[in-house]
Amino acid sequence: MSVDPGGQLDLMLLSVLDDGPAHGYRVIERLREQSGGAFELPEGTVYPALHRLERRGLLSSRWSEDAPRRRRVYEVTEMGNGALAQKRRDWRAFAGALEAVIGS
Amino acid sequence: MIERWLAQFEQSLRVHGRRRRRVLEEVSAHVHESAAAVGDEEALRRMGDPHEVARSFTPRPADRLVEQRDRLAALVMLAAMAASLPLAWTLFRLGRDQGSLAWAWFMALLAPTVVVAVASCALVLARRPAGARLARVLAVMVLVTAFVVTLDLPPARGELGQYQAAVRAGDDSSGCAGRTLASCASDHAWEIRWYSTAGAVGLSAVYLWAVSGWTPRRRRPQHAVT
Repeated sequence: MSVDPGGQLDLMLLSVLDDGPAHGYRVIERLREQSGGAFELPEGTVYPALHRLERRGLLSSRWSEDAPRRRRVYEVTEMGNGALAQKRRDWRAFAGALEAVIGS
Repeated sequence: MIERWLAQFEQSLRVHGRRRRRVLEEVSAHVHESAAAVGDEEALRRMGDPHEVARSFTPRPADRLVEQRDRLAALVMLAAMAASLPLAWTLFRLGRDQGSLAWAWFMALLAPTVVVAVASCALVLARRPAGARLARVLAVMVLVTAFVVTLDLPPARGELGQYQAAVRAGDDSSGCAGRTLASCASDHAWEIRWYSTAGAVGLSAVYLWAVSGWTPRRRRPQHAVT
């Protein structure tokens, strides 16, 4: 199965980072693990999205030196938590409505 | 193979300065880590076309404006408050010279609103959610002040009455050419009452909209599933 995340990339990135701070590579691993391999995103799309969320104040980032290579570690901000809660509500409302339609 | 991909990526990257160094370091680290896990070819396949990835790091001006609208609104709010200082100074000076304390009561009415506005702007500029919450408080305070001023309730009544008396007495006749001082005083008081109120209400409404996180809907489907 292959699922197109459509306009939900921001929701997925914030959700994955809600589990704890992570660098981009780990974020992609978590997305793959948590979706059971359903989301085969072009990995190059993830970094611009992380940067965009950071510019919007929903993520913060810092360099982590505890690896052979420096890594940029991302974390959900307080504002990001609020946005995530709103996006989850929107998605559940949409999914519930869609389920009501296709379930019949 | 990886170095060629990275060179193509760097060639197409339209980002400059410190951010450019950060993007290059981040993407390079990712590609090398991925290649160590799944091999060079698969790592590059997963990354996608280097030119396309590089282009997606450059936000369109419209997107950048949307992303920064809250900070822009905070700066506009602070600039508007700074621009109103000469008027506040005039009201203070004329009142002080007349020996009345009406100006002090009027400033006491405005001071909490000013403090909340400055705090909200500072928090929005620091991207703290409390800034947006304070913007709602600010909107209510501005509306209350607007009612007081437009309905000519105290302390606005005393302040504007004192201002008109000062203009009629010739203490401030700027902009009164061709009119009697009494008519000029009345016109100026009307302009202060209505123009300042309309400006403050309009600005606080735009500010509240800008910092409350509203985002325009994209044309593409929001929930595309294939």
